Amino acid sequence: MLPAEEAQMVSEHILKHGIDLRLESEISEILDDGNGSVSGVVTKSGEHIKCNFVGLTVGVSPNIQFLKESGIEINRGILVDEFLRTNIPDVFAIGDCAEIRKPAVGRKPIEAVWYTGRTMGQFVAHTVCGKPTAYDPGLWFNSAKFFDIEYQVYGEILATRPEQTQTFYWQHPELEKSIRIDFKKDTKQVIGFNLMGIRFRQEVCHHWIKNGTTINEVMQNLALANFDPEFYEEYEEQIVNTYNKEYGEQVKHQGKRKLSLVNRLLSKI
Amino acid sequence: MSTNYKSISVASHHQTENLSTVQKISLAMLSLGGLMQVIYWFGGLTEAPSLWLWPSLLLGAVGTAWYGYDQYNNKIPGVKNNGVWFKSLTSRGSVAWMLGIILTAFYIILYWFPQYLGLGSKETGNTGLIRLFDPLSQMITGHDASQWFVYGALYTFIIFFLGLKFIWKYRYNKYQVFRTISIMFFQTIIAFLLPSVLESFSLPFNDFKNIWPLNYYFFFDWHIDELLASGNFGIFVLFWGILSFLVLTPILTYFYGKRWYCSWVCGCGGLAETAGDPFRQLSDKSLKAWKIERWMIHSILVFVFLMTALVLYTRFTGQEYFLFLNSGAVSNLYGFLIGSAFSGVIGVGFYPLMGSRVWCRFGCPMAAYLGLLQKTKSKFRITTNGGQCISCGNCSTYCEMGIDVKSYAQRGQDIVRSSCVGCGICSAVCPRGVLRLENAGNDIDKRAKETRAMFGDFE
Repeated sequence: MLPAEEAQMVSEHILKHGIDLRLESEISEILDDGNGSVSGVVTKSGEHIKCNFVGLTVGVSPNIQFLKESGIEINRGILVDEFLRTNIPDVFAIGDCAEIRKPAVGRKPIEAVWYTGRTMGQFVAHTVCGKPTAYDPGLWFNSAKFFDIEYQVYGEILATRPEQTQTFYWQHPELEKSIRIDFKKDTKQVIGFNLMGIRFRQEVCHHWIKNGTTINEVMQNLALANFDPEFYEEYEEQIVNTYNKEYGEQVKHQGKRKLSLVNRLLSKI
Repeated sequence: MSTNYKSISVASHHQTENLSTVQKISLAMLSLGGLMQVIYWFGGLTEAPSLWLWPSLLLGAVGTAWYGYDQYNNKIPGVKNNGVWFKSLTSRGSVAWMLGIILTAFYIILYWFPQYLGLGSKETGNTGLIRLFDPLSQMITGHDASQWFVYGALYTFIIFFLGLKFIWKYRYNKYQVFRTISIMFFQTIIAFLLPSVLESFSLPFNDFKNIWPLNYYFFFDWHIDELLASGNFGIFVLFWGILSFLVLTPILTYFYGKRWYCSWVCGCGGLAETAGDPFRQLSDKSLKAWKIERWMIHSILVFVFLMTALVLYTRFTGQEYFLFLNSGAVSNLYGFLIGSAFSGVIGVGFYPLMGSRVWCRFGCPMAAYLGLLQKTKSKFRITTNGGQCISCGNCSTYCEMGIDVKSYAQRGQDIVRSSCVGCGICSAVCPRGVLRLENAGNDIDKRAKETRAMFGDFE
């Protein structure tokens, strides 16, 4: 789930691509053309829309009914422990069919996300190769692309912000680019980055989050996270100015984003 | 509405994008321009070349630029490679084969049978295609055209106008825009106009950016003689040629990787990046192709060194033979096999079948030299952004050098490959912002060798 501003940007972008996006409407009926194919749909408001293809996307749930009689313990997904083991010896489950019995704090028991599946694969490979390693999902991150808008998220960005979280949001006045940084109200430590149309370095964002870096320090060194291709316009100056204005701060942005400086930051613990 | 689709792919099942009116008009202009040149060529005409040349060039220029503009203008900026595997031209279909055959035939005629282009002697004068370009040649060099002038003019024309198309396609990506402007500049000014102007001052033809060993004849007797006979200018060219190979190339490659040459300066690269752009996905990504590539390109590097050493040996000792090797025969063999057949006929003729960088990848000795520097002594790498790769494979698909970029990216490994020309397209087409071309010396070995995406959190 995206925060409201980013969701708005994506919606507008989808419309630009010629897709008739109807928010807050629901399908009540799918119509048959008499030959077993679809001819259209009817919405809850009674509108009839002609079509010859219907795709329903109502979220993901594991398709594991075939395991019912197998003796493998299942719930919504295939239940696994921290080593991704099922209740049957030498049978493992990973990916979006696996349901972690005791998920890490802030994480869901089933995560239908590519990165989770791949990460689990790396852990289970260690375990089956004789080096039992407990699954540790690490810091949350994800990415997507909505037509031409790239999206990256590092750490915790919630659509409905908790009381103790503050947010800083900057959006380009014309282009579809934005950055959001969430941080703790009391300690000012950053907890998450949300990027639209701008690329950030995963390692730098993770470093800042893990080390409880304050929003002011992040702002000061923002260019270290920039991962846009060479010669791209850099918005750090604008972003920091906006931040200073909104929060009455006097952070001075320290320019330059050379890889050697990034490496120096990452080598610090 | 009753069509029953068998595939549930959301992408178009068939080529549904019809040509717009502008595209039809511009294509017609372009075809008319081309047709005028073909008629003049095949008719073996000699009359009033100006009346044919200028309109045909104008039609071609406007047609190409307008078509390129219209193709991308109404689209939202972003990666626009839709349908490349559905179009006959870009997916080794019949159109691609036809174009490949035509291009190959053109190169064979150009290199070995220029009389069929209409090349005449001083007394008889030119006819056909070469005659058509006499007015342009007269204007720039002061004398009649040769087959090489015609080739240079067409080559420059194509890089310039298809370069405009490429810029418009990637107008949101400044790296691509700057790089293409650089290529257009070096081709138009340094490779085409400057040498022609030099000729008009009776100085030896010289393309300052064509560095030995790509310019394999640099140390040939006739070339050195020509330079030595042209006073200070000739000495300067000789000095520049050696300096650019020995000093300039290693220094620039140390700081920026081989891309400073291959995708910012070089003419072969220039054609590949502009005219060749629609074919980049056709490069072979298999391990076998990589193996052939390494054997082939390094053999040619050895070949050019040996050949040049032989030629210089003959120059300084007067001995034609070194053991059983005849320097004249060896250099002729190199010129025929590598200089003409490989770089021209196969290098460009096979664009529609094997992708746009066949020569650069398998044949170019300069690329081999730059590659060795890039691999061993350079700050350049493609950085992988942590564990963000989703293994979609767009980077590998559009790598014109056939590098399986994905295999590195999905392991979180930075990419250091001698063949990478730094065109930056992998980074442009990556849907998750995983790849970035950059230069930095520290930690390059660690980042390129270790598997860093481990455990999602790379620790």
